[in-house]
Amino acid sequence: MTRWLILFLLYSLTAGGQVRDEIVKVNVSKVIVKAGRQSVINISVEVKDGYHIQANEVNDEYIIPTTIEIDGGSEFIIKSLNFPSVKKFKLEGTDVDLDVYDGLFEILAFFNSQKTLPKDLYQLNGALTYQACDSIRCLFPKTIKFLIEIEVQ
Amino acid sequence: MKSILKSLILFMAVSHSITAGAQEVQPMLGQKAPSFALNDLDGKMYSLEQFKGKYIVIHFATTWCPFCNAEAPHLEQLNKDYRDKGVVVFVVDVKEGKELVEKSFGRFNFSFPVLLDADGTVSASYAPEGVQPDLERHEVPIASNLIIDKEGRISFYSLLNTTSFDAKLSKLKQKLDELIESGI
Repeated sequence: MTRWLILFLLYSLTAGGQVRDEIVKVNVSKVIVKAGRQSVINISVEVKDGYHIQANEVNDEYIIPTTIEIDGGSEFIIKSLNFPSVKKFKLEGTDVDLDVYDGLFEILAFFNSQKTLPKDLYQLNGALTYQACDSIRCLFPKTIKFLIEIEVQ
Repeated sequence: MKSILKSLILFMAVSHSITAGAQEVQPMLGQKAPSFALNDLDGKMYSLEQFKGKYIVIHFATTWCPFCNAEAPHLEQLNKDYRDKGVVVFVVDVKEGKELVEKSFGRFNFSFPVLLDADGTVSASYAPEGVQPDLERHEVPIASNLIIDKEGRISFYSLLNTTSFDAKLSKLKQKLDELIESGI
């Protein structure tokens, strides 16, 4: 019984490659790649309406940037991450312009797969760390974990 | 025709006051402020009780909160402008290490104590019941400003202010001026 419950919870968490918390939803489509080739993981992020999260590059060392971590194991090498263009969020009454993301956007992770990889379906662990605010208050930083499916053909 | 016009004016007046009221809704007003005793960055303990008879301004902050950092210079100015009028100011930092807080807030040269709410208990005690139930309780007051009156009651709480960010603390100062003038 417990085993079924755990399986159900795991399925609920990963079904459709989508995970979410109160503020952020992450959706990753399955990637198909040939062994030894380059490809890209498309991480779709949706921030709840009325909120924004800090950009990947921030201009204040104390602001917590949005980051992505992907554990490619020995099979996949993450070469680079491509974050979207920032939006400006002005703190009213100040000259502070924050670099933020909001709404729906994509983060691209370019990777190489090892030449000797057998054909199979691989699962990588990913994590998005972000710090969200709305127009007058901020929430503690959070990390949202997700799975990436890569099919090697 | 006149009665229709009167009704319309009355309706508009009521609507306006409801809307304005909704924007100014503040939680916990008139309630006794939850007591606390917290250490500042030098290890000196401060409690609410020791400031009875003063107006206390509290700002709940973290080092990574852009709103808090944008308000910081204005909070410092407020302290300078009001400390001779029976006002004491505190920043309560929520769930962060002393070293980080010291380094980050050091750049603002605060002339008032920064208190460390290391486990978030005090912040959580200021989270109004039922407000933002999806958040952890210690998260709720972050970036908020409060005024506690001479009797230890909450008389201003910016938490549910639905208007825009008030970096210059103009509403808080307005309320402080009212309180000082009335002597409450």
